[in-house]
Amino acid sequence: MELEKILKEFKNIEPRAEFSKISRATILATTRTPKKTWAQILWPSLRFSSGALITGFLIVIIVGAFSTGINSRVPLASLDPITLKAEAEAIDIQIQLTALGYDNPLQVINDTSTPSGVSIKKVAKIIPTEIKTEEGKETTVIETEPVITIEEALEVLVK
Amino acid sequence: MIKKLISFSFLTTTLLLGSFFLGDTSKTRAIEEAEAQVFCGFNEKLAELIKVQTDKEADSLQKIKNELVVRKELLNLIIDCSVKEAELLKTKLESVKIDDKEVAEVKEKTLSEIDRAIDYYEDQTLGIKDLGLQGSKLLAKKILDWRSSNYSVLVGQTVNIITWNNAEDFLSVADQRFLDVSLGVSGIKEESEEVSKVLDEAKESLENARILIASSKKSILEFAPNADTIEDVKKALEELASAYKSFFEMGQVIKDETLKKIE
Repeated sequence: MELEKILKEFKNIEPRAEFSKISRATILATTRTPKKTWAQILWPSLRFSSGALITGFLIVIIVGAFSTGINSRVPLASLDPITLKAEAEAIDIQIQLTALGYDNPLQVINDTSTPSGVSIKKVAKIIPTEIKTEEGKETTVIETEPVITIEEALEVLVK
Repeated sequence: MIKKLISFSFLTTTLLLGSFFLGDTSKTRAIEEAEAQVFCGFNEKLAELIKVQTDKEADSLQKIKNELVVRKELLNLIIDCSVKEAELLKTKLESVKIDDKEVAEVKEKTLSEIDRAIDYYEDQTLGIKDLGLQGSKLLAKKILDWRSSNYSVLVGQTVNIITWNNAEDFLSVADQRFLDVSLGVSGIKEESEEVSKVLDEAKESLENARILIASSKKSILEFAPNADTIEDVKKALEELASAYKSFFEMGQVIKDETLKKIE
């Protein structure tokens, strides 16, 4: 019964008026945390992802620009000396053939289109002959015989 | 264009490799080439003609008869050889692939003319058996003159078409090369006067080549082959060679510029 009496007396306990005033002022001075929306919850992770993406994109652009810069400064592929030499030599050969012009037209035609084709050009007939050298070894000597052209043969017949 | 560039590179590589491997077999190649020639065998027949003309044992009538026989054989041989020559010319021209529509039409016309030339030669053989000594001389003169005024035009036209077409192909390859180089140096062209100058020189050479090729095409279309046509083709090729000289120079200029920047 004594305990019950004591507990009932607890109901009447009140803070001191000065303490109440200070506590109320402290509570009222504290800013209230507003309720977060979904966007506010996702924003930090979204911000991090987009930051990472932009950084990655910039890295790609910088590296790309750097590579392009190298290529533009040293256009090695289009100025490869071996390819250039092969193309220039092919032109030189064609110049030499074209220089023959109408003096030896069939050679120009023949050598221009197929280098190993048949021709009736005015060339020496090649006769391979087996001969023996001083040491007794057999060797092949190529002798030449002048070939008469159609015009030359006709001129003989006109006389 | 890319296809042309690839086929051109393939062709030049094949030729270079081929020449490398064939380098030590020049003797065999010479013999093979000799076998591939169309030899008409005039030497033997002309020697026979001289022999019958100077035969001291035969009387004059027999000498004339013998000479006529050899002359007729020689005429037949010349005509056979001329037909082979024209057929070879036709084969060579047929094998040329021409993209230009106008020149392709001239090529077809030239091929028809070569066919007509073959017909002309074959017609000449018909009367040979009835010829006398003087008649054989006149026929020889007639064929000689015809070749000079008609057949030579066909040969000239064929030479022009083939060499022109080659120059056109070389120009396409050089144009592509110029585009690649221009693109490659675009980043430093503004910074370097030397790069800009060499590029302009290459461009000018290509333009000159283009003008000369266009000029030679005009005379091909007119079907009037003359020394100027092939001379223009030759000059165009020289301009292309000059453009390549600029490309080589460009390589050196860029190397120097790069070294300067590194230093």
